[in-house]
Amino acid sequence: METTDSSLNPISAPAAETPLLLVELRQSARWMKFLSIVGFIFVGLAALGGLLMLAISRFGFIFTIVFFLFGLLGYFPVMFLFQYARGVQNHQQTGDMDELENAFHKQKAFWKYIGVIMIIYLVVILIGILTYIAKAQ
Amino acid sequence: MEEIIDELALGGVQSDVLSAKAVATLTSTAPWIKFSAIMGYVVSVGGLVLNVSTGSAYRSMGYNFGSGASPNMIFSVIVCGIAIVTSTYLLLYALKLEQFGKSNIQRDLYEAFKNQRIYYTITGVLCIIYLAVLTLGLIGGGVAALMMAH
Repeated sequence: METTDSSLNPISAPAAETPLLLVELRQSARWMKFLSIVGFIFVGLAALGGLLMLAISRFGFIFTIVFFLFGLLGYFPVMFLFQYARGVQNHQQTGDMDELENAFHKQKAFWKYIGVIMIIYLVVILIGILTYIAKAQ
Repeated sequence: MEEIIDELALGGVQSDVLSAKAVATLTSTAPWIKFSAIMGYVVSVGGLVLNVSTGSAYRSMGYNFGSGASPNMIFSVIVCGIAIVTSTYLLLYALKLEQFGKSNIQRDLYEAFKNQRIYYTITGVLCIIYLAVLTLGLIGGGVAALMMAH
């Protein structure tokens, strides 16, 4: 007589309530949300600093542009990270797979943005070094 | 048996927790994460080398920082060490995602998310420490300014 015990088969057995990988993802989401909120505060402070520079400095306009530029550069990755965290948390509440798919899209946008900024940073550094060498000769 | 329970907790051997679209997005993100992690290594080690060489240049010009390593040097070594640790977890996250893209085994995705969680936990704790130091510095600076004014 053949007996089948579904608990011995990991595929046909009922899965645990929340798979561990989703638990890990949700724990990350809390930190991501915290980091993005801190990021938003710093972006706001950069904008505020820019306005302050306009009021107190003689060359305030230049500083304002620089501060606003840094604020704008920082805003997008912070927004993507916040949307990623929110998507994961929404999926936790609703179980809607679309939320998770959108969240992963936001994560991709976040790392792509960071990558492109790093490439630009490297190019600027390289141009700086080459200019320095050219001037030294 | 323990292994089977473990796989059950993960949600099965093969990937069925996430949709195919979600998996495709995740695996296509891996190269960008990998690039950022490698850049993390380059920038942290490069920064340390630059700091050490600048310190040596100042010493050769006759500037004396006292005996032993300067506080600046110690600080940059600590910063570089932390950056290497965080970059390693980020790299592991990317590598496990790539591995999951090839194998479609749930355990790889679990390992990837675990590394991601560790990465964000370290970053979050560092952020809290930074904010605490910043707040203490601002309070200290404010108190010092008040004392100097009186």
